[in-house]
Amino acid sequence: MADEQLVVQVITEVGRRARGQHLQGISHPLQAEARFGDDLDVLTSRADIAVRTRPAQALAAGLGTVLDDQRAFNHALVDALHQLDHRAHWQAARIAELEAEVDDLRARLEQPGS
Amino acid sequence: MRVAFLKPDHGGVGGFERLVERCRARLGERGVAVEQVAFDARTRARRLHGIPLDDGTRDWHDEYFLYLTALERLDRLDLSGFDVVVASQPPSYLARHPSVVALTYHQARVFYDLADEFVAAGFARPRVHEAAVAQVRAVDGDRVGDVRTWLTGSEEVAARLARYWGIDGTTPFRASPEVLPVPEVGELDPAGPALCVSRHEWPKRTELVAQAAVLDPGGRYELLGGGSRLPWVRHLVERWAADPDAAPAHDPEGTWRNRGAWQLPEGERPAGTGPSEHLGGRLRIHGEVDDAARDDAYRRAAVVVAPALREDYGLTVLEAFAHARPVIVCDDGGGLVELVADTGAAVVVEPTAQAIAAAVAELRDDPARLQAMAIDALEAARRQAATDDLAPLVDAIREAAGGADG
Repeated sequence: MADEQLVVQVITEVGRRARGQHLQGISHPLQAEARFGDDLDVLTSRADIAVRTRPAQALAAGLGTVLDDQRAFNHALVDALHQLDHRAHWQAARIAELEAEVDDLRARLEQPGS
Repeated sequence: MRVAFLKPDHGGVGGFERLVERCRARLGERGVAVEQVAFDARTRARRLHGIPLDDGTRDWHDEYFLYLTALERLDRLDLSGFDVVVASQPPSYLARHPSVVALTYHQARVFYDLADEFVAAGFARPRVHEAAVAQVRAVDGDRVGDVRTWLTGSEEVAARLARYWGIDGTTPFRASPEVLPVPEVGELDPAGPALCVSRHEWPKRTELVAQAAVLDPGGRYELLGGGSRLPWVRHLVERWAADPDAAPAHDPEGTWRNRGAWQLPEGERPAGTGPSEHLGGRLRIHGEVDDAARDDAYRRAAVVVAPALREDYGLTVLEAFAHARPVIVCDDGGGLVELVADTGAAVVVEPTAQAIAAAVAELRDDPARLQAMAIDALEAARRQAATDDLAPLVDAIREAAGGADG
């Protein structure tokens, strides 16, 4: 049984992702989602989860926190999207949107005092 | 033109399907194709937005995870082939489509107007619910501004949309009951049962009617409807039958503001289905019945009790009126109170079993008043039947489609 603090974290994280940080309009949901989910598992599990992809490895090594912050998640999302099967390449517009979001976040984080 | 009626599938078939059928007939005359599009809103997901959910986590707030799971499934629907999408229950009004007409009877209420009651009843821990409420409101808030037209089932619902989402200028939509008004009042037995037609769910407060039956030894009462709290209602009645002095002392926390039968050990929960009789036959609990049995119960009844808290609409009131039966509602009944206003066919009481029992006894002892109220009830039903209830919805669909159907 999860403790209350962890449940609150999960609730908050799931809600955050529901607000636009999930894939939209996947035409092959099973294939794309399964692969995407594998990447996200790495970011959201405490430990002992198999790291299967290069970006996930890099993220896991670099961050290592449970329920990463906004910046880390957006990086992961972009990386995961770039790995999607070629049949999902029509997602290019969504990828570009997320990349712009990451750039914007990076700029804000790099501002003095952030 | 193609119109999708979106329905979160909770496993039941009922009023929504019949409404879709009526719209299909009405819009079909204009060459508009109406299709029902359902999405799963009851199967618990193993993973949500990439995060694995085990039973232990989910049990902390099942409603929250189910809500977002349903939303994830809604987002996977391809609605691009439809000109207009008619949304209904939450979260269908969050559909991503440029022309959404939301036919709203309620928001996901435990995250809005029932948030405090939900915690008070013990369904979720305060901190956990606070986090869930914040997330649902943020998720909803990001999207509800995209809905083109809001149709609301009552002033109660319109006020909630204004209060929580800042949405004003909603259009009233008052669906007719599926029961035509009887030709005349007919035989009305003042000593007939006080009838409650309602699902036994929180916070319908059917417990109050069972409690009133205990407190009113001269009255007969009947409860119709299934639901997850039916075993709890039976449990309370059995306790009160064994110790009648205990009934008056039961406050809301002991009756309806709690988790119901989940508080009882598994082996001690009464049956959740089928009929039962209590209090020497004065109280009959029927469980789920078909429409014919329901209508027969309305005909037998002297008065209909609708005790729900802040109800969105109140079909049971309209059904009672169609059968020429007066009603008793509680002053915090929301849409129920709206429906009976200015009809002369209702008694509005405070939300206690004592007040309900007193009102039932008062009408039983005053046959002339009961008869006059029955006439007024039937008159209200006839007025309702004379209105074109579908018109606001049909107009909204046509407007959303840019008048393409003429």
